[in-house]
Amino acid sequence: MTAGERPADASGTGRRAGEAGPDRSPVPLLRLENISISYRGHEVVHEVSLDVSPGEVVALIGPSGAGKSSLLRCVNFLEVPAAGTVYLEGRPVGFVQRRGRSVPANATALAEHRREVGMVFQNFNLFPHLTAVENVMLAQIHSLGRSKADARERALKELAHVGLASHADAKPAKCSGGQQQRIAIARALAMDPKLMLFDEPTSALDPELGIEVLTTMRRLADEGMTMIVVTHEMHFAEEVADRIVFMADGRIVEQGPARQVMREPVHERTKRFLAAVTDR
Amino acid sequence: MDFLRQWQQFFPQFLPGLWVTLKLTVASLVLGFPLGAALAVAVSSTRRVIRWPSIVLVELGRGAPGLIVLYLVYYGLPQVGLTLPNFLAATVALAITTGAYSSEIFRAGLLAVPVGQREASRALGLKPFKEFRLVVLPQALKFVIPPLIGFAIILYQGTSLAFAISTPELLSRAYNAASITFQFTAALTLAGAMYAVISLLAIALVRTGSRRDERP
Amino acid sequence: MARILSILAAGIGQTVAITAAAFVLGAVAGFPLALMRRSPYRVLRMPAAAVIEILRSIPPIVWLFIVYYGIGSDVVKLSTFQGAVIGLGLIAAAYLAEIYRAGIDAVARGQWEAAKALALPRRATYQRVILPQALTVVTPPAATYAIGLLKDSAIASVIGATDITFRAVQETQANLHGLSVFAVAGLLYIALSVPIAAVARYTDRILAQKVAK
Ligand SMILES: Nc1ncnc2c1ncn2[C@@H]1O[C@H](COP(=O)(O)OP(=O)(O)O)[C@@H](O)[C@H]1O
Ligand SMILES: [Mg+2]
Repeated sequence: MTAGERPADASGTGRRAGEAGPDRSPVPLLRLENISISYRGHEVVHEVSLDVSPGEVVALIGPSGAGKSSLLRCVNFLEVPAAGTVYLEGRPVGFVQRRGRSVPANATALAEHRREVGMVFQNFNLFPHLTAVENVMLAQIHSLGRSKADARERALKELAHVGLASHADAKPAKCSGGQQQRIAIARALAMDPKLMLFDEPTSALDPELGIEVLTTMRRLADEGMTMIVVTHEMHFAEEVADRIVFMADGRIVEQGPARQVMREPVHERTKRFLAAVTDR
Repeated sequence: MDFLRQWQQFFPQFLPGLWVTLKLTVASLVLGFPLGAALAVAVSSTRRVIRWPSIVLVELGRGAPGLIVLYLVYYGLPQVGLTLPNFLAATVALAITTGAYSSEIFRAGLLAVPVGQREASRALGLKPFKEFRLVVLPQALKFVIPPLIGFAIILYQGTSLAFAISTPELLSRAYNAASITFQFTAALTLAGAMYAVISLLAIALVRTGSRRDERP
Repeated sequence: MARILSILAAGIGQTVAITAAAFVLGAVAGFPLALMRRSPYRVLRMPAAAVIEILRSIPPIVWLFIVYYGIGSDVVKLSTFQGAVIGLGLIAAAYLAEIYRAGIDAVARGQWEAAKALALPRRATYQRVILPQALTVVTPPAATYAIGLLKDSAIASVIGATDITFRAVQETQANLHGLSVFAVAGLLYIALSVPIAAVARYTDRILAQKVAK
């Protein structure tokens, strides 16, 4: 794929936020199958399965410590699942089968996978010694092998796309939190990911700065990007997400179309959580 | 193995040297730490005749090589009519070095005691000296003990400088044995091992000690 | 005083050369040692840790003797300069390895994660992301170490390197005025450490500006 091109989206163009979900294609873009995650023998995510269709926006909500971040980080193998399989476009990733046992894939195979999955962190994790445009260029050059000129052109385009063309040569420390997070989004998008992961992208921001990030994300959703968003922004979840997945204690408790989960939650646990985080 | 047999032969000859090294370490620390504590107070004295000489001593002791301080005492003092035998010269020099370095440790320890503690004791009517002895010092000691032990281990290694003024410590023994037998590598590595083992043992001891302290 | 200074000044070149060469040797050799020390593999980590501990727990002068008299007489003949540089350089490698390690560890975990999530290869992660940030953390302690090394270099005189200290001892044995000679020598070492501190402060400021501007 040449620089400057958006990946051909499988679906979802022109879809309005909050309306009915996208087509369920036979092969989900992402499938998590019986994923368990442990830290030092202590299991915090228990056999969770989740399918995400192309173009779908999934909001992952739940109380702190539910395992949302762990599950999200497992999608691009920042966390290696103790059991279960991650499939991207039907291909299992992160593991190779060897003599009937699945063993961790090598770094090259993992990098291959990570190139297709963009991630946006709560604390931005921009590279502080590089300018905005250099932040967006770095992985294009060293991970995708694009030329410097191509990477730069693409980086400027992505920065313009998130409204930061004028900040291209600024160091992160000179930018507001909201601007930094938008640079981080541009950095991920420049890799032409098939899927974007967001881990509480606005939690570290003041509300008014959070809005500019949420606006950027909403536009991304409208453009058809497949997204999984861990968030405490219930408005955003209801308005932008196709589906809400509610997690507690390392399990998916309830999921469904965004409006439905927000307005008519079925499970007691979901009701209590929503009552606590919304003022309805 | 040849090497091990050589070590075995050398080892008993080196023990008296190790003994001198240990005596030198202890003597320098016993003189040097009180000197350091005194310097820590003296460098911030309001009296210039106290402040300036102590600042010079601390800066020279820390800024100049230990070997230079050693030579200054051993070769220098005779110029003013004071000739010290080598063990004593080494002790004095290492004590000066210890005083200079540990004064910074003590100073940091004193500064680490919260100002409120001084204010509280003054509010209780303690006179300055009692305030220092009863309130500030006991708390400062808690901060200074770990770095002082660390310095003691460094000084144990530093006593090897005394070789340069022919003090019969561990390295001198090793060097002499080596020049007689021409087994330089064997003799010197054994001396190295003897320094290392005691340093590492001391470090291990300190680590287990401090771990025990952390427990409630 | 001026006469003493001119005599000692003849040793400055040797002192500076030994210090600089040993520092460069340590800075280069310390790097793989630091990476091994941080390796997830025990077979790399344990030997590196052992080498670092052993290098640091034997006095520098003993190392100098082991290199110069031991290796120098049993394996390959070394000049006093080579002996001093190798001996001090080995120790410097151990200390600088620990300084590097601390610098790398000081880089926020999120930086590694961002690099991973962007599928940056290991080499680019180190070169472009981690090391530039570690450098700012490493500079001040490395400069402090360099000043310590300058002082440690005085022991090279014991194996006969003709540095400042060597000249001072020679002069003292010729004329009995050791107090003045070694006082001047001490001041000379302190004076030589001033430029190191200045360079360190300068590079530290430049690097800090590069990271956050
Ligand atoms: N690196 C880690 N080491 C140990 N425990 C962890 C680690 N990361 C998360 N946990 C634990 O796993 C559980 C789930 O954490 P997390 O996935 O961050 O939840 P959430 O994002 O929903 O708040 C929590 O109990 C947390 O303490
Ligand atoms: Mg989380």
